[in-house]
Amino acid sequence: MRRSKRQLAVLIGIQSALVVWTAFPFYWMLVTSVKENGEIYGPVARLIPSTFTLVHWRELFYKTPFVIYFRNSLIIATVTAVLSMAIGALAAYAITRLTFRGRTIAARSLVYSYLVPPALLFIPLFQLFGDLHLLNTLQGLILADLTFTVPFCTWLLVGYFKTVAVDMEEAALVDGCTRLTVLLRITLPLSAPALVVVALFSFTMSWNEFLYAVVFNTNSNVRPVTAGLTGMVTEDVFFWGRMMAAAALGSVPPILLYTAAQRWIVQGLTLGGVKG
Amino acid sequence: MASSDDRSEVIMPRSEPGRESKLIRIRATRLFGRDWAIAYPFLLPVLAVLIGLVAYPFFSAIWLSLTSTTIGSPGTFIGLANYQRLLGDRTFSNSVFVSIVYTVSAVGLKFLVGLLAALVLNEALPPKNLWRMLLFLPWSVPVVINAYTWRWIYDDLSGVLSQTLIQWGLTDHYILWLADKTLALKSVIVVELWQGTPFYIMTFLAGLAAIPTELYEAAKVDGAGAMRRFLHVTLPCLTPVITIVVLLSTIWTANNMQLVYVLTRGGPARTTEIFPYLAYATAIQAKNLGLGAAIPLVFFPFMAVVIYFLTRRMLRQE
Repeated sequence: MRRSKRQLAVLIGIQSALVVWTAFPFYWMLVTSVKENGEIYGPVARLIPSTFTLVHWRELFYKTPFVIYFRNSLIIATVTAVLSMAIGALAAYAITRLTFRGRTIAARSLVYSYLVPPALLFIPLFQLFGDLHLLNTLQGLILADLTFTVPFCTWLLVGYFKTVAVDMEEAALVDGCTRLTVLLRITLPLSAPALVVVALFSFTMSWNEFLYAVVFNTNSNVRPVTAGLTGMVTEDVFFWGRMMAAAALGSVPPILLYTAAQRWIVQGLTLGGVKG
Repeated sequence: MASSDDRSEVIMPRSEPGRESKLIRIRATRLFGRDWAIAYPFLLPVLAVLIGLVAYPFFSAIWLSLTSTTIGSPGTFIGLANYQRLLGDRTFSNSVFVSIVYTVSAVGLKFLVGLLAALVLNEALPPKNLWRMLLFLPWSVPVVINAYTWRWIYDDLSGVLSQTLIQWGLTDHYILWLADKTLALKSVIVVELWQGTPFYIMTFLAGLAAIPTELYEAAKVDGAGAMRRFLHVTLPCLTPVITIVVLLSTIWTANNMQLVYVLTRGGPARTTEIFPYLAYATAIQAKNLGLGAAIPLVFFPFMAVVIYFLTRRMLRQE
């Protein structure tokens, strides 16, 4: 499309504004984490820092439980991703390949569950986990995260399994393979890209989860990064350098994974409602 | 559906041992569908999650809201007393008001900025993918982390926002972005705009890419200008996407208390106390589980309407 010079200028103007608006907080986060306290809390905000120090990063590792938080987040997100992938694959296979009563209801209840807001579930789950002694455990948070990752994974895999041709599966069944063998040996390998995407999503979703983490786990030994950050505020008056270092580090895994899965994000989050 | 499955009609051999058990199996097949014996075990884990961790808590929330349960004491059935208390409570009606203002303006702004940004990015100068990746960043980072970054930007004395405005001579005093009653909610909405818009941009870009170029060419041949092409081609083609995105985002925005938790804790003077935060403060901090459970439930009928329309849309697309 040909554009006039004025149109081009407007376009570039809006685009630059968007880029600055989006990028500035990240820039400020990184810059703050390497400034000396004197400059951070000085009267003048310098866009280009005049001091450089790694003291906040060192303190983050040695003076705060951040490493524990990070480890907890890794454990919770990894286990959640693996579990939801396994649970989702089994259910999606049943929904797309098998004939049984209640199939439509099962499929629909997935979408409904995906949409039930955590703001409604956290109070009864808090009580339930209290009764089951799951508060202040990593297992509890993994179970809580499954409430949104499992419906999500299953639904996405249902969509994908529908597009995988069934000829090979049928041939294998005729040869006497069981359904489980067919799923493991044929359907899953053919769906490898979808499985990777689903795992990435589950991982980031549970990495980013906050409400359950902050309500269920009050002990900092079992807190993930998101809930852990809230505990770092009260420890010190001058905490912003350290805090921004923690923020930067806590952002790395989801940014990497979402960037890797970028092509599928739109379709994924709208449960296939919007084709990407 | 299982009812449409007539492969379960198996011809029964008359004289065979174990006929009784075979009959039962056939009846079960008729009742539950051909593959029930494999399907149900395959579904067992997912059902355990959906029933045990979503449906059961959902109904136990309803029960809880009818009791006087607090953290540490089981409480008794008190009927609708919690709801009555909420309806007569200023704090609650305030949070209804704040929630509506917050959700409507945040969703409205995200929609407008998202649409504009998508239209611009659709025509963007290369490298397109780099811009897309960059503009998606705020959405991929945990909301709490965004909230802390912004709390630092908004900081009263050392925050970059106040200091820069003073340096540029636009104001002569430090602005209390999060502590001023007239500013706090607006400041929170700005952060929500920053971190929520990328989702709109991405989905709208996907929607725009799906519009066939022939439509634009045809409109051009008919002499339609840019504005009319937007109103008569782009917007109608984008409507299904817009509906899904706005409904989905309404649910997410209305129910998310993370920004408020970090930025303002509902203050100052409850001007940012959206209902999920009030529910948290009531149930967890004030330990009143019963009353706390009732708060999101009051909003649930409205949520259910949104969820209903959304699910219909999503299932139709599928």
